[in-house]
Amino acid sequence: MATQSSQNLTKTASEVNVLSKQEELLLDLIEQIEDPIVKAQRLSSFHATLVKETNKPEPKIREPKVDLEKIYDRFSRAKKEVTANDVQKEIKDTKSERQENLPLALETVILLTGEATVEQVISKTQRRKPKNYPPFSSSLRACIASTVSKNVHNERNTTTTTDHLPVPEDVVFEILVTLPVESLLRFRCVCKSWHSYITNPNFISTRYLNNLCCNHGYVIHVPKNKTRALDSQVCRVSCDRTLKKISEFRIPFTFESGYSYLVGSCNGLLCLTDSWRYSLGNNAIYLWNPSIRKYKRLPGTCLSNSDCFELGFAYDFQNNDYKVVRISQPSAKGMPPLQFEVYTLRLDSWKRVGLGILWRPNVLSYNFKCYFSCSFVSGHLHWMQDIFEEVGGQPMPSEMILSFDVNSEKFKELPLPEDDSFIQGFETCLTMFKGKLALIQFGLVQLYGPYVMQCWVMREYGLPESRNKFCVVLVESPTNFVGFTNYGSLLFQTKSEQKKEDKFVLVDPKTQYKKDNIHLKYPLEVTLLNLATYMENITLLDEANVVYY
Amino acid sequence: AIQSSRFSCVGFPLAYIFLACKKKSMALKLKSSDNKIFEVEELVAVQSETIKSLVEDGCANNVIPLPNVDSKTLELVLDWCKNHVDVKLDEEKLKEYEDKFIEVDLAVLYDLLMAANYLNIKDLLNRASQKVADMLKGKKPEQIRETFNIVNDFSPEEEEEIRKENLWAFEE
Repeated sequence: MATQSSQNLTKTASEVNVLSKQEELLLDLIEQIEDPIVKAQRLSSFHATLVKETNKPEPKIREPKVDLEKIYDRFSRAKKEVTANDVQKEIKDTKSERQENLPLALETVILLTGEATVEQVISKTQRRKPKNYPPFSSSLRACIASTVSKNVHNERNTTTTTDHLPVPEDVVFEILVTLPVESLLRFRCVCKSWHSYITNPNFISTRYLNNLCCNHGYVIHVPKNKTRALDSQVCRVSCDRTLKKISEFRIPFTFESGYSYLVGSCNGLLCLTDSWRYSLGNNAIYLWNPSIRKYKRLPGTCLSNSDCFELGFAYDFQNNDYKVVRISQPSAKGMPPLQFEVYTLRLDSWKRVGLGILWRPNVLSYNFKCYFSCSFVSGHLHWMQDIFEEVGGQPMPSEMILSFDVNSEKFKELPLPEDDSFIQGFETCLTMFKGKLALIQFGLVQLYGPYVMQCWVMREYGLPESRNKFCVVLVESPTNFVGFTNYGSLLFQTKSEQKKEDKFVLVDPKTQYKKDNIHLKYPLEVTLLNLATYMENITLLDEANVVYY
Repeated sequence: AIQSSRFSCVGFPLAYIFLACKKKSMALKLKSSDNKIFEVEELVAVQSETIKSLVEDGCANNVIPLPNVDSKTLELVLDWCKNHVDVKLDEEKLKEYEDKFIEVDLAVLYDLLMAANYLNIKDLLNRASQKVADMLKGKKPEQIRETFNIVNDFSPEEEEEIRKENLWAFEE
C-alpha cells in the first residue's frame, strides 16, 4: 500500500514538470531506499519541497559548474551496481575540481550518501548560495536532517573528541557577534576569514540588532553652547537608565568655532558639525566612530551659495548605508527656495535632491528649529519649522513638520496634532520616544505659573490619527528639555541658582516619578545639551578615506 | 494503509487533528547518539527548529534519532527547553536559571553549543555563544588561533597593517 502511494507521488512530482537534473538525481536516490515507509516519508518531504518552491517566483540561479548530467547519466545507466560509496567518490572528485560552486541539490546528495553533517551542509550552502537563491524550505531542512540522522549515525563518534574545537562557521559568527568592539578589532588579524566576517556590513547590522535586543543602551552628550570652564572637545557616554558616566571620548578634530554640534547618532556612528553652522562656508561635517577611533571628513557641498543650513543624519536600513541630508537657504533678497542635498557613505559624495512637494501657499518665511538632533524615527528624518503664513493680508505665525524618507529620498509634510491643548507659540520640537515619533511642547501657561511639558506620540508611523497625547509634566522652574533616553525616561534640565552645578531631572512619563539627583557634572553655564542614544559598534571599520588615530 | 490515508486527508479532518494536537501536547521520542530514548512533550521539543520542521512534515511519528547529541547533553538541552516553555515564568527567575545553567566547564559548553546549533534552538545558541565570547574577549589573536586550531593565513606585513590601524586595542 505504502509503495503504491509513493509511486503516485512520483507521478505527481514529474507532472509538475519543473524537475531539474539535480532534483531528479535526488529522487533517484530516494527510490533506492529499501524500507517502504521511510521511502514514502522521504518522498512526501521531497514532494512538499517541490510544491513550496514552485509557488515562489522563479529565482535566477547560475547554472552549476559541475557536470551533473554526466554524473546522472552514469548512474541511471548502471542503476543496480551503484553503491553509496560510488556516489560519494564521484562527488568528492567533482568537489575537489570545482570547490567553489557546489549547487544546493548536490550538497543534499552528498548528504544522502552520508558524507557531511547537516550543519555543515546548511552552513555551506547558505554561505555560498547566490544572492537570489530561495531560502531553505523547512521541509528540505527536515529531509536533510532526518537523512543525516540515519546515515551519519555510525561514523560520528570517531570525530568528536579532539584537543581543538572544530566549530562550524555559523557558530563562529554567532560568537563573534556578541564580542565587544575592542576584541573584534584585535581578532581581525586571527585569519582572513575572520577578518572578512568582521568587516562584512551584514555583521555590523546583525550586531546592531543584537545590541538592541540586549538593551545595552547608552546615551552620548555634548554641551551645545560655549563655556569657559569646560573642555569642549569631550563627548561623554552615560548609562541609559541611570545617566551614570561610563566613559568619555575626546573629539579628534576641531571646528573653527571651537564647538561641535551633534547632528545624530546611528549604530555607533556619530555625525558632528560646527556648532556655529550659520557662517558662510564654515560647514565641515565629520562622521566619527569613537569606539574604533576612526573618522572621516565629508567632501564639500554640491550646492551653490549655501548659507544657513539644517542637517540630518540617518541610517538607510534597506541599503545598509548612512546618509546625511543638508537643507540650505541661499543668501539672497526675498525668499529664494530652499536647496536640498544628500550624502551617502557608500558613494562618498553629495547629490542634489528636489523637495518634490509644494510648500503651503502664502508662506512668507520659514525657519528651521534645531533643538534636537535625534529626529530620526522609523526610517524618516524630521524637522520642525516655524513659518509665517499670509492670512488675510496679515502674517500669521504657524508651524509645520517636514519629513524625509531616507530610503526613497522623498520629502513630505506631516500634520500637527489636532488637539485643543496644542498651543501655538509654545516651544515645539520632535524627538523619539521608544522608537516612535514624539512631539513635545513646553512653555509657561501663565506668567509665574509652573512650566508645562506635554507630549504626543504617534503610535503608528505615518498615521497621524494614531497620535495621542501621552503625558503632561509640570515643573517649577524654567526648563530645558533634553530628550528621551532609550529606556523612555524624559531628561530635562532645570535651573537652580543655589548650586554652581547643573541640575538634571529624569522623569518616568508613565508614573511621573521624578529622579532629580542626576549630575552630569556640567557647570551651570551649560544651558543646552546635545543628547543622543549611543552604542558601541564597528561601523566605518572598512570604509575608504578614513583617518585613524 | 495508515500511511496512504495520512496523505489523502485534507481540509476539515486535518484541521481537526491539528486542533486536537494543540489541546493535548503529544509526546515525542528522541534518541540520543548513545541510543538512549527521551520521551518529551511536543511543546518542549519544538523549541528546536530542527525537530519542529520534522514534526510539521509528519516525520516525527516514530523515534527521532539525534545522532549528533549524546544523552548527557540532550538531558541538559531538554531541561533548558522545559524551562523556556512557560513564558509566564518571571524574567528574574529565568535569568537566574540561565546563569546557573550556563556555568559549566568548557567541554560541556562546547557540547551545548554544538547541540544548540544542530537542533537550531536560538536562545540557547545565543546564551552559549555569549558565554564563549565572554571567555574569549580578553584573549590575544595568537591564543584564539590556538583555541580554534586556526592557521594564520596573513603575511607578516598584512598582519602588521591591521594591527597598526588600532594599536591601542592590542595594548595590555
